[in-house]
Amino acid sequence: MSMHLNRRQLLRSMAVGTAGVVLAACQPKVVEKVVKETVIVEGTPKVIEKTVVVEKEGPPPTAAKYEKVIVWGWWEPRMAFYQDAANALMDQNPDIEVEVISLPGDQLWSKVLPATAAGTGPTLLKQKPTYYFSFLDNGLLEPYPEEIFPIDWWKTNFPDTWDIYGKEGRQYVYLDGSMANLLMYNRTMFEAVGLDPQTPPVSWDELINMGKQLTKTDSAGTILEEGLILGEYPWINAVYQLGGSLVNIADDGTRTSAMLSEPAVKAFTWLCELYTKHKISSREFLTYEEAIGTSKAAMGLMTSWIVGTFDTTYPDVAAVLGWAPPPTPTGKPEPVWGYKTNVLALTMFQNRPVMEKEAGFVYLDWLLNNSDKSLADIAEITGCLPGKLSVRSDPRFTAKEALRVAIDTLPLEKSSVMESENLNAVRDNAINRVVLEGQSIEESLAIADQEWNQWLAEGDASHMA
Amino acid sequence: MGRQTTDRLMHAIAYVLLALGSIMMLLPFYWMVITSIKIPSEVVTFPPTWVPSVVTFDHYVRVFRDLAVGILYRNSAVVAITKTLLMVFTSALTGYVFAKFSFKGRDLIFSAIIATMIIPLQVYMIPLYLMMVDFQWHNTYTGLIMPYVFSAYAMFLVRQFMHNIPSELIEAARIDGAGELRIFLRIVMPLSQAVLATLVIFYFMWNWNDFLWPLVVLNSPNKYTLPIGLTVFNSEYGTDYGATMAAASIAVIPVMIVFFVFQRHIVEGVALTGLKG
Amino acid sequence: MALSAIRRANQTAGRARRARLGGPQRRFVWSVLGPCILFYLIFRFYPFANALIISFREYNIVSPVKPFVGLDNYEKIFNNTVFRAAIVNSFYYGVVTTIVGLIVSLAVALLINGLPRFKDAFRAIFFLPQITNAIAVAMVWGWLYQPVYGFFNQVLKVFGLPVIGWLTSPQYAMPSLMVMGIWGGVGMSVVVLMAGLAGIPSVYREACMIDGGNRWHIFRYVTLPLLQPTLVFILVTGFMGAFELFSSVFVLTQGGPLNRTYVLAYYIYRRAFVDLKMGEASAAGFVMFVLVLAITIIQLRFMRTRWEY
Repeated sequence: MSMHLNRRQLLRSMAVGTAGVVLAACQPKVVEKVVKETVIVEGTPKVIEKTVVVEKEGPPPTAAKYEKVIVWGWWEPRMAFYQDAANALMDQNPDIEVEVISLPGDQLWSKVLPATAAGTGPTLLKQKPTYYFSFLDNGLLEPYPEEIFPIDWWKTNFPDTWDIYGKEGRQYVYLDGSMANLLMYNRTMFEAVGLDPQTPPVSWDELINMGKQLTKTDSAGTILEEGLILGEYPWINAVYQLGGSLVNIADDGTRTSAMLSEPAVKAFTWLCELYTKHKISSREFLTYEEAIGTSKAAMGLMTSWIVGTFDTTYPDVAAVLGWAPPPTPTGKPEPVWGYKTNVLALTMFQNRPVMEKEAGFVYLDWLLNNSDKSLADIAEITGCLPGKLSVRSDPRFTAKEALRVAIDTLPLEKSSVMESENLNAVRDNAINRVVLEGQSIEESLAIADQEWNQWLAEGDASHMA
Repeated sequence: MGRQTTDRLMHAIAYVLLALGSIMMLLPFYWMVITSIKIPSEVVTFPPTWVPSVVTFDHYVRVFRDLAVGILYRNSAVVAITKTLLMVFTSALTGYVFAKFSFKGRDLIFSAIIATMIIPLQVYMIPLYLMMVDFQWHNTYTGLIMPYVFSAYAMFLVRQFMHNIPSELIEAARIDGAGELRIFLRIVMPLSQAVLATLVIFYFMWNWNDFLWPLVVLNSPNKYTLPIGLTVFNSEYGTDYGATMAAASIAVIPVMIVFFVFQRHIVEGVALTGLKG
Repeated sequence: MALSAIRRANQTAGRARRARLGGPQRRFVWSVLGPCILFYLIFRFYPFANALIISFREYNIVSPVKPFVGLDNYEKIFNNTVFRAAIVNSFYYGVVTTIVGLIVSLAVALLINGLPRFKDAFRAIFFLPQITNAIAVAMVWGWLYQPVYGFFNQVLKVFGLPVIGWLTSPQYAMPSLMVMGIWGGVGMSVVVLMAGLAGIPSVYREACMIDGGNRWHIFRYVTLPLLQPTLVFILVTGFMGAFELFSSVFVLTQGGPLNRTYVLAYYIYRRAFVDLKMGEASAAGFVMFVLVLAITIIQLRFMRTRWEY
């Protein structure tokens, strides 16, 4: 037994610990008010009961006093603009308090549902199309009051998306805007190999040929600089360009995999050959942001939200980046340039205290009707065409090349619900099996098809077209 | 060849092998520190440099600006200290009771408690989490601490140790009219300093590094403990290698200094607890 | 560890005097054990039982209806390729890190033990990863393994060798995590083994030498058998620890590439808190429990028949 801490040391540490216990006990309780409630499940209307439990002692909230609005979202620079609008509102209206909290994007979604069930969740949530429907279908969302947000506004401006996101004539969210799938290319790297920095590729063949000229490898064949790097949704983008889809929807609404359909197989083969046959891209290289941002990839295909990341993190390279619609099999934009992503804004949780929801709608009203600058900031940093018409006239959307191109490309892209994470995983695994393990296209797609059917049977991608 | 020579040769070989092993053990830490003080262009330069040509502390400035290091340290300290002291105190009490009292059902209760050690957290994590939600302890330190105020392992170690305390001492105190709690605090606790100090050190270390349960329970960034804060920083600045290594250094180096100061105590504590386990 | 503890508890049970407790003593015992029993009932046994119940339900956290679905969740997970991969991967990781870790740490412990000086310093260096934050350590290894600028690939390039996708290639990702795991875990075993070695009376070694034994004989016929309890301890605790691998997967690979690093603990976390399929996650948790239990029992049995002669 050779531990020799003397008694005084031990007692002292015990005392410090007791102080710690006291400190912890004094920590204020987060939960102030909790509303538990039965919700509508699977479309079956059930009796809704509400029990309001006041956890923290103190004077009961007076009718005139709003409660604090908590907004959760991800990506700090963007959420800062939501806070800007809130600050302006709080200056105007001292009764309102809004706090915007940015959580890491990969943790937000695993936190928000449990937190909502626990009553410790937010008032408003920055939404993502992949998750929106699970909130909506579980009856967790509060419809917007029509007097603040006329639905006609949405129906007129985004007719194709209203059918997807509205429910029984009510609105539960609005659109921040739409993001285009774009080609971005490094003009300096184009010039370095003698390519015209004003003429990006428009067809698949051109993309591959230019990619070959731009790729640099060492003697061992390891890629040092990629000709092309693929970002999000490369497969679905190519499938749409070929006029196909990754889901079959039967007349009764049943969804099954379309991964073995002709356009899907063709697009998949093309993707894999970028790595295996043409060797202009690598599965074991840098992340998309870093590859493009540090001039280690000459071209990239990606959703336009990345514009903001380059501006903030890699300003030097952002200055030499050129932007174009994604190259298509034929070089023509028919049937579509590709895949566009609708960006959902904030949804209200239905189980919050009444005065908190009211305050939340005051904030939403302010954001939509008095904060065009913040909306433009948000649209600019996410590289999207703003949802609100008056914001679109903001000069920066025409001044900035990336956004101008995005806005021109968007009308010719297919609008759909964002790919689910499960589909992303199925796709990545399918490509990896071919590229990294040498499996045949047929075998790999057969596995992917089976996996995708399993997810679809579980209700995944219930709104994807 | 004489015995002495063979011994010396063997020692030399052992030193060389262990020196190589030590280099392998320390290399990640060395690489972490020098990356954190290199300028960004030198971080990615080829061939890599073993000593930075220019030393910069910009990465640390950024980490302190973008990561609430102070708050994370404070949160981790509050949680780890509270948890550790509660755990050690309860283990001392229960370990004492199991070791020095005999009563009906004692071994059954003790075996049942010890058996819980074999259940991985993942098995009962979900109901436990739902319980935190029900109790309104979700996203609170109460929820982080309460499910861990007792520890079967610590209880077991204390019990083993306290078997060695002579029962005569306790009996004598009883005859002198001392109350049971008094006997525990005045006689048993001081005699068990060695094992309790070891437990304090170890449980503090484990609690300080605890990850899964805080990840599940905590939501608010201002309540995050250090490991959670690090994962957030890593997911947002993953490609800024200098900054992530600076953040890792900030998390690792203070603990390392403490370790080297108390190295003997800590390492021998493992031997003690490990063997008795 | 737990099982040996139980066995020992039962052995010592016989020794204890069965005297009736006096009034104050009984009060003291039950006022101490009362909260303790309550704690284990509320925070361990109840959740454990509840986990079993949840594993038979379709459990959606936000829905008030949690229908009973029998063995559906078990059927679903066993039909799920990711779950099956997770079981295989957990075993793969557990077996390799435990065995390789044991061999490496035994070698290191014997080397250090034979030294006349600097024992403490070497022991401390090997122990160092134990005290450092697992997340910080994972970030550091992520940087060492980085495909383009990472230390290992930079070194390979210096020697003109082709680079390796340490964490990105299906074939190397798991071994890379294993190296990291062994690096991190070896220190604990070294310290425990050294304590075990110190507990071997030198007369045995001397006796072996008098009988004409060389170093190998001493190791084979004295050290190894007498170290057996320590080795069992390391194997059992090491495997249980390895089976719960989580943070390095969470930080570095998220189960990829090609699900090659998807392990049970990570699967349960993902299924419960990302996909919010808590019924299936609980079912997976129970499978994990049964596996851990079975392995522990087998290891204890095997070690006893093998070395007790």
